[in-house]
Amino acid sequence: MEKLLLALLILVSIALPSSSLHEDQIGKFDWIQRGIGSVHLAQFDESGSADGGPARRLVVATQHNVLAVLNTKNGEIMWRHVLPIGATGTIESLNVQEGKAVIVSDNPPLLRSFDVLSGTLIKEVPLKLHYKPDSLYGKRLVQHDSSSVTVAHLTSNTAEITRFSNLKTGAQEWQHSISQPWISSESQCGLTEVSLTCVDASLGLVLSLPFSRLGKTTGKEPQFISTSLESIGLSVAVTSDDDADCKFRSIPITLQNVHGSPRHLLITSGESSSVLQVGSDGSVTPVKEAGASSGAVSVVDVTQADDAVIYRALHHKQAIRISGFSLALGTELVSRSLQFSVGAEAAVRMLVVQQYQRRGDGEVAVRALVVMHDDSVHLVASPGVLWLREEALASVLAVEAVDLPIPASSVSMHDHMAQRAGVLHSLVHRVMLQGSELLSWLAELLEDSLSPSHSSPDSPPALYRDEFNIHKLLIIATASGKIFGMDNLSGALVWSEYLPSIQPLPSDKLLLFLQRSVAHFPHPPQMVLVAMHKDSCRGVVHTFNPLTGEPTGKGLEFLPYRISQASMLAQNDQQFIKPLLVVDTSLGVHAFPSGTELSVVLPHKDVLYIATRNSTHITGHSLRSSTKESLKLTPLWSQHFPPGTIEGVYTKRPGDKVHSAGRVMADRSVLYKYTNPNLAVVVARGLDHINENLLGVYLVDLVSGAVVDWISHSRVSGPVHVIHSENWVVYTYYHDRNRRHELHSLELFEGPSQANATAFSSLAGAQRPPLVERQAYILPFGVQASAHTITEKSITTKCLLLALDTGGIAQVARWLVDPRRPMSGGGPREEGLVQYMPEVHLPSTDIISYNQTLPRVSGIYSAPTGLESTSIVFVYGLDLFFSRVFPSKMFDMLKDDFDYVLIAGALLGLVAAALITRKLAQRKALYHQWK
Amino acid sequence: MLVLSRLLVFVLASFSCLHIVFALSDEEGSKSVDRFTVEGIVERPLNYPQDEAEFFAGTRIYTNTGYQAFLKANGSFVLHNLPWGSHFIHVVTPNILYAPIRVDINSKGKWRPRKVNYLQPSKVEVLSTPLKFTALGPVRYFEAREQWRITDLLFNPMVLMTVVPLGLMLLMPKLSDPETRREVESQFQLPKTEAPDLSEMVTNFLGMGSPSTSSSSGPAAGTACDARRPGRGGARAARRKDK
Repeated sequence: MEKLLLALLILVSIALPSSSLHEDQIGKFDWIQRGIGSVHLAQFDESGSADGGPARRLVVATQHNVLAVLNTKNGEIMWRHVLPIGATGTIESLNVQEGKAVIVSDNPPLLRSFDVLSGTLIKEVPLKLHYKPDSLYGKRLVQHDSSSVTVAHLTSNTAEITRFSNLKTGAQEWQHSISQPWISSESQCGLTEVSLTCVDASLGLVLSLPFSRLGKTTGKEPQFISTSLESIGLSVAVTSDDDADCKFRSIPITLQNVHGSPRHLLITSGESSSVLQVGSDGSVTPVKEAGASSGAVSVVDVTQADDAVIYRALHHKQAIRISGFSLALGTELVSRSLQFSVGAEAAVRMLVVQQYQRRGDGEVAVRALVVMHDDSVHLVASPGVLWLREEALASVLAVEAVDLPIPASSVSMHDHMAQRAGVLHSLVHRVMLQGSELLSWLAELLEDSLSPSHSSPDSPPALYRDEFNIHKLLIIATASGKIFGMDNLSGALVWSEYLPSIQPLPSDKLLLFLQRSVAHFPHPPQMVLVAMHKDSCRGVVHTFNPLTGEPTGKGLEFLPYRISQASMLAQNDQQFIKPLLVVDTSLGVHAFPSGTELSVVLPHKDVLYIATRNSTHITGHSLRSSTKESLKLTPLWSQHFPPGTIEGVYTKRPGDKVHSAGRVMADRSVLYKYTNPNLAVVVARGLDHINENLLGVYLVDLVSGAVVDWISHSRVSGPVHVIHSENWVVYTYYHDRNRRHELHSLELFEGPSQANATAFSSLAGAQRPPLVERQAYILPFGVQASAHTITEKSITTKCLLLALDTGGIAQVARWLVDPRRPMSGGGPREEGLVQYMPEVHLPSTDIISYNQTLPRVSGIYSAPTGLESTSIVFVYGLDLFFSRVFPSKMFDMLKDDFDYVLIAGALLGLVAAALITRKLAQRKALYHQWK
Repeated sequence: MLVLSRLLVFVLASFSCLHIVFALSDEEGSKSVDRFTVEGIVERPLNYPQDEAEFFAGTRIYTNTGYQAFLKANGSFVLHNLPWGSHFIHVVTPNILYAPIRVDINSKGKWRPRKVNYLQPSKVEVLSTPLKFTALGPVRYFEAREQWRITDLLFNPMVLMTVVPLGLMLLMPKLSDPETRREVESQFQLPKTEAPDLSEMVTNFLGMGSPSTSSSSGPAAGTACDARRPGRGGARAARRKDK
């Protein structure tokens, strides 16, 4: 039976239009950029380099739980392993030796070693702890060198330290449990080869526990050796703690391990930092460096213990200087310093230095891996920056596609067309303008043919709109505070801007709004980014020109309040700017740019509604009682959504178009769609009375507060991904009892007649509840992210875009999950609907990313183009993937394999045949006459 | 409740065969015995060409519960730290398809692999141990281009409909032996039809013939012309009328 169904499905999928790729189209419409995330551990692999030359490979571990090997020549990824997200996959230590990359991760800890060349797992050893780490899992520190691994768990008042010396079996050497009142999971501690060293700001002490004091017997409580911070030459910077609930509270004093040395620690307080050397007796002594202890943030690398050289990276604006300081000589090694400049004014976060012997003269040369606070990774040698990776792109939070301007010549024409004065005048004008355009086109053509090397590869191509508006600029905002402008066809970065003082909003979001598009020449386009300040958690608004990245208007503005939500109005002011409405946490409303309150918001105050949410309630507000002095919210309704916590509110995309108002039934009658623009899907989660997962899905009108429809799923857990468009909703979830991923599809209809065919009103009295069609399907895969395709006029059928947990991006036709698929055969059928089958089978030809796997997708962005058939798709996450999709095939363009030669040949053949037969006919006629 | 009873059945069933799996630390009587390991093998098909480094670094082995394993050079893998319960193990490699396998681990750490059945999750089809992933085949991501072939054109019904009668027209006069011709004709006494001359038709259609040709488009004229030159094509009908 199953096979029969499968066969039927295959038949159907052949019969219905599918828009899969051909093999020769690889890379034609798509590109992929692989990322690794922000690097936090790195080491050069020196095994592959012959006679002590520069390393060919660089092993890195990142905060995105990725282990990767980079080619030091060009920075390309040779291989990478993506570990699970969260604490389980965190790579806590990295040690590269003899062509093996050894990492410690997972809970309980596992020691894994990989072959640096191939990425094959060589060995996997569980490190057996005596305690149950689940209950004790506070902060974990791992110190790891070639012969031993030390693991320390810090919880409140207790530190558990375990040393493993046999790395083949994972057997313990010793383990100790230490109780101290000041230890907590927030303690700033560092593990060295010989000690556990902590710094406590409130005590003003550096406390060190040497492992030599930990005897084999655990009877006596070992004592910490304390050193005062003053003797190190540091003072605790006092920070105001008025924003105690701010997410990233600045820690007054930090202690970090130093890359390359198991006996040194870096202590940082405010702007100054110092390197501490820990002796085997637990003594802590600061390393005396010549004049480099204050000023910019610096990171140190100690390559060899006996002939230690400390490298510091000091930054001054965009110039960075790495200087080496010899401990044995006590002087700076001028020959080993590196100088270079970077694009953004960011501080250095991490430095890993490799010293090697230069091949020609045998001198010691230096190469350095520099990781900046904007997540960019540089490899630097004496000539300068060898390569650069923008790893901020691995944590994209917001994307917006911006149309490019049309070339200046056409702009002038359109400009003149606007002001007409008489028919004859405008005709003459038009003819003249088009003549001049033709001339300039001819001149351009001539110039191109004369100098074919006109466009050199290093000069960036001019950013102008192409014929079908497929060429766009993607504005990308990342979690590190860096904003990028990216060419969507090539993936090249056009501009980048680093805002060091911002962080994402509490919901881990950054908001991007296009306030003015390029359509309003000569006004430049304007975009606004809404974020949060790093220290105070108050709101930040950054206004910029999306084509260049340059700040416009007030640029970066720091607001005196915290942002609860922000939205853009559909109406614009005289400058064609759509104002941004920002609601603060105390429900005050502010408009951006200021001044638009009066001109735009107040005239529309009767039709403006704002719904705010907290974790359990959604409250609807009206702006009706606003006055000229201030905008005011009046609460209208408040709704609680069982089973409790609101996980997400999914509205339709602003400007969501519905092409046809109804659907034709099998009996030729029309079923009208319920297209409420104010409808939102609210997903709430909680537990039922027997502690099973419960999921509530509500369709809520955000203006009136009416719940249009709701469903409760029991024993269902997330992640829930919702797609909401036109009159349908599709969401995916995991069914706990059936142990499978499921997809639920809803479609709403008004019925066989429409209440008001021209406009929809949420407040139009008692409404008939819409008809809700629903069906659930089984998905044989999990979903990482979802979206739907968007086209210019919404005539083309919409496709679902699902990022599967296998790593593929699938384009799923909506008829496949249509809730009106009939349950039984027979009877007249609606067009394009096949019989219901519970399982959604996806042909592998519908994977638009083909064999490129995207292991960690966080979102999919789709935008329309000038062609109705074509939609652009941008997938972000650890990797970036861009493609064009044709949900109903390319119906408005010739296929790219259109055989011009055959058509031209056939035409020429016909003409030739006509001429020949004419000749023949004439000859025949002549014969006939002679007869 | 259903799960519990099912589990009970499964515990009873699993005592009979199956591996001994070591728990993480069961020494000294400490009761933290709830993390288990599952071992398996991924068979690397040799008939599909694939780069070795791509296979080992590009193959992901993960469970729906968030655990992950890595491939060793001999194709084996170990999933560590699994809690008891059901885990679906997926082996994903870009160009080769593997079916997922469900593994049920009981609270004692015994486990059995099962065939994945999303439609009927309670249906038990136990697979043999050791856990082994066998390739189902290569994944086809692309549609083949429609290639232009001369045979496609020749066997097109439209082309056949025009070419076959044309061929017959050319071949019929070649039956020059008068006896056979007479025989054939006696067998197929075709009614005399006013079939138009082909060459005439083409000339008329193109409208390029001299007015005299078009005016004298009677069968007699065609006959006269064709009688002179019997080798030419399109003369069959006229010739028949001669008789």
